Amino acid sequence: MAAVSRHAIQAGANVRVGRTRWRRFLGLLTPALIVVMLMVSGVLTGGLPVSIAAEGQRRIKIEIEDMSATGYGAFPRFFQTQDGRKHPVVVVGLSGVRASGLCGSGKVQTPLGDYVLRVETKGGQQLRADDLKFAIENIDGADLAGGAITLNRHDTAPDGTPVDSGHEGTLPITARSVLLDLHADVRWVTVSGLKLSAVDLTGGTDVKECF
Amino acid sequence: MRLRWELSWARWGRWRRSRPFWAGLVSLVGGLTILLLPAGQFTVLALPGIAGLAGFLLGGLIAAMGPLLWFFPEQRVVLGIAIVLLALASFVYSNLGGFLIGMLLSIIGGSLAFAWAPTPQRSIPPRSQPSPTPRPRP
Repeated sequence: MAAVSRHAIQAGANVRVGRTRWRRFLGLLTPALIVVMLMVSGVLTGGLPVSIAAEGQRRIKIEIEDMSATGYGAFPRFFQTQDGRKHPVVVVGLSGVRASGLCGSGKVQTPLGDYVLRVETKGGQQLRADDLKFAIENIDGADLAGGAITLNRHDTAPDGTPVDSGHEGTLPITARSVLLDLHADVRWVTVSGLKLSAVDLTGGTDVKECF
Repeated sequence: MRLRWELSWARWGRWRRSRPFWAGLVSLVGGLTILLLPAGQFTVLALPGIAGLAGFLLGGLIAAMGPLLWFFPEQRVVLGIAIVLLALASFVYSNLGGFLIGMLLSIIGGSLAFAWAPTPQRSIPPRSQPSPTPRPRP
């Protein structure tokens, strides 16, 4: 038996083993990390659009000084949780989103306390996103304060009369100085073509909500 | 019993050393991070929009390439470069590459795969044989 196993080990010793050549490793890692640094700085300066998808239950507070977008639909969908249950949600789609003076905050309850994630644009800078979709499971309450929201009133005729400006099936939305306190369960958010320029992103248990 | 355990441990060690094992494992974990981060605690198979789909596509491809490195180690250079490129793409298309963690793990895994090489087989000089019985001189 011992002779057989010794023979097996000796036979295995013929297998070609390998090792990592660390110079070669750095040769690929270094340029890749340089590209990563360029991309991170591109995102922070707003030059590189990124896509984001997030899920969970969030309470979101949004404060907007000036915003324009085109709503292209609110349609029902289902999503499935791990227990197999299907939940109905309403998906709101917005395209061509431009927002300035934006502050958005979401509070998540964790075992360590309330964790607040806060996104804020710096003065005069604009946040742009090509496409934004979010799924609302239910709305407990939506408080809207100040300012004005106009729907389908992007353009006006020379005499000042608003004219339909959106494509068929879309709804241009313009908002000014709006405080929106949305107590809703947002199940997921997807954003594509997001251009963040001079955005402050802070998160932590000691971060305050927008209002 | 102990011998059998030693034998299987030796066999496992040989299997591990004869392929870019750690490169595959790190890539697999990186890909799964990109794949699973948007999913959270829900099983939403496909979120609409490029961000939802790209996470599954890029994360899934990177995660699949990890085991491919184990079973086709001869393709390590191509797979390693592909993993690094997919990881870089995931930064733009999927939640900043799994919030940077998945992307960095995949880049390290891809670079490890690219850098792995089998050690050249040493040619052992033949041992000097004792000379056969001396021939009787004519």
